[in-house]
Amino acid sequence: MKITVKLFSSLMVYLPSGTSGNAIELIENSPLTPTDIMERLKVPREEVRTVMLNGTFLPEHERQKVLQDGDVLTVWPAIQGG
Amino acid sequence: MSWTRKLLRVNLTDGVIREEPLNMEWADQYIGQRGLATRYFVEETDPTCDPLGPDNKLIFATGPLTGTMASTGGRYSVITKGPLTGAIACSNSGGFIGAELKSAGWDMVICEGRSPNPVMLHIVDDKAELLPADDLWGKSVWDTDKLIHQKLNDPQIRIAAVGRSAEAGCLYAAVINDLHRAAGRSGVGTVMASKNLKAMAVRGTQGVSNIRDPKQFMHVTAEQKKVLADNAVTGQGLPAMGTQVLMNVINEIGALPTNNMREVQFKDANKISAEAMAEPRESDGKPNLTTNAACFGCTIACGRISTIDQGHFTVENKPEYWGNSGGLEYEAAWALGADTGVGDLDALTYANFVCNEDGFDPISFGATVAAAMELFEEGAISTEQTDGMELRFGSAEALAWCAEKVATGEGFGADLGLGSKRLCEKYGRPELSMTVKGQEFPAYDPRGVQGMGLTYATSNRGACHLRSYTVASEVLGIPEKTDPLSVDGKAGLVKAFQDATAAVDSTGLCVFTTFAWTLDNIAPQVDAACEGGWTAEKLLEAGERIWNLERDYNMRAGLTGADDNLPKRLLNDVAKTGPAEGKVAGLDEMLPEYYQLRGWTTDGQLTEETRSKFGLPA
Repeated sequence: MKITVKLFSSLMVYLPSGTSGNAIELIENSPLTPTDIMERLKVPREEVRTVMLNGTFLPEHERQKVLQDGDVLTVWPAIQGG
Repeated sequence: MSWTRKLLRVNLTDGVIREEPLNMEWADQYIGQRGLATRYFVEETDPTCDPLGPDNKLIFATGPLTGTMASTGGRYSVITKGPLTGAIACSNSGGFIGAELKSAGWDMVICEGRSPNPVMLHIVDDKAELLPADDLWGKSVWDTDKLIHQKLNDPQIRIAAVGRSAEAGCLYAAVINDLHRAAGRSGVGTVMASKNLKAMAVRGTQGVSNIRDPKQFMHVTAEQKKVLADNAVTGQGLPAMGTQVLMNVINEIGALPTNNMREVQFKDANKISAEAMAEPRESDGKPNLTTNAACFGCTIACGRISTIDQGHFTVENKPEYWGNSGGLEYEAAWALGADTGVGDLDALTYANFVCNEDGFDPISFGATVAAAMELFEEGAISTEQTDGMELRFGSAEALAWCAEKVATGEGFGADLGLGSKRLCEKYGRPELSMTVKGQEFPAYDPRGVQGMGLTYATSNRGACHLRSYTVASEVLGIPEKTDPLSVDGKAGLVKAFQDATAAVDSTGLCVFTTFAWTLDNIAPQVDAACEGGWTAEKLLEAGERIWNLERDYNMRAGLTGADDNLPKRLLNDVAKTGPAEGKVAGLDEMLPEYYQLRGWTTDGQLTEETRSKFGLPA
């Protein structure tokens, strides 16, 4: 099972050293949730604000759901613009 | 009363300048800045006037909190009838000149008529005079700023000016103040140039002394600054990454208009994002972003200061562009980049520098270039019109060339200066213009963020994101998360954002505070500064009154409900990729409910009941 994880903005520091760009790919055989991935990358929970699964907003109560092969998980800290 | 209670009326036709007391009854109903200046404008100007004729007026207006110690209290607005839209135009800017004008003792400056020769308005506290500006005409904003500083021998004077694009009649020319802050949209700079008013130079030494309850004001503004500092967006996100952090977010959700809104995702979004701006360049080892920057009194500091690689083709042998200057904000980066398909960060930064240097709106400019590129690729224009330049999507050379042409209005620059609507009409393909009421879209595709479709369609100054920024709710969950792909509840959401924003825009504060503040945080600051018993409810009521007043003006100017529309591309052509795949903008499903919530007729006209409820002028 291949999962793409993208961290943006100030969360980029939690990508493994040597990562080029914003994304890493995880190859996993065991079930994995967005929360598992954030814990594995040591992203502090309070810094995670906007989480998207395949471009669609993922509310906090859905972040325990098991990811599927090919999923793209994208995570931002608190951001805004305009 | 933190209004100075006086305004300056400048008749450019006969050169007479006089002081007038501020209408405090109107101030109680319309606050200041956007609201109060619109009330004056509606009272004094024939809605059917030619925007570029002497009967149009141009108002520079501060808010009651401009120049005070409230965080972000440095804003001013320029109010006029817009040449791009034929509708009310109100463009808001930061920097320092707004606070300087207030400190000179003026709530607003009303410019009327047309000077027979180029002039500049020079204000030093109570004294105001018109000075000849023949030597400044034909100069860029940056050269004008430098020459005025030299001429007046005052390094602290603050300057707002128009550049060569405005003089050449570009319909989306901006008023640029403090070198790279802009009252950017709707062609307010074109109106200024049409009056032969090249610049306004202001020096104020009096401070803002009329605070109603100084002790309470100090207390409450300090308390609210802490709210901004403690909020992750205004305390950390915006200062670190600026608005440009949105580039990847909006691309991910499939709402990043690309190639003149043919697509909703841009393959090179990451290359022109906030993250890319912070990354050291391979060529010279320096990042595009040098530092962040703040406007007067701001404790957020979202501004970007950037450099271009000296070896980049756009600035090779042009040392005047090698230094630090105002860098890319999200809207500009989108228009200059994704919408034209150009993924070259330094080329975008160069185009942005030129927009500041010669004073034109990068959103309308970028979107017009995008339309021109589609016209070119469709064969509606050719190298015959473009002096041999191939206007193709993705061409950084074409983007830089277009910026230089619009800066002076030479050659094809005159066509580009017409804006997307008139350009596409001229070349027989009006359907390729991505505009509402003649003004170009900003950076959110309404197929992927449905509330923005209604926002654009109903904006009183033509397509604009700053009239109701529902992206905050639909994408980022502020104040609460709503589904960007659903039309449900969006009519109410848009109305609420429109009314609250109209109030904030009238106070002298920056709308970016509302990522952390609501009107409940703003009202105590206004109330401590001003008489009138200002509550959040009173501010919101004033906001709704302002919205209706602007709408009423537009209806009298000849616009109708039919102008609350979107281009067919967004209504009929589905998004091709991303989460919004298969979606069109559901405007028809939102507009009737919106009219109903506004208390307007089914065809979008104000009723007598609504007019009377808000005490609008007959």
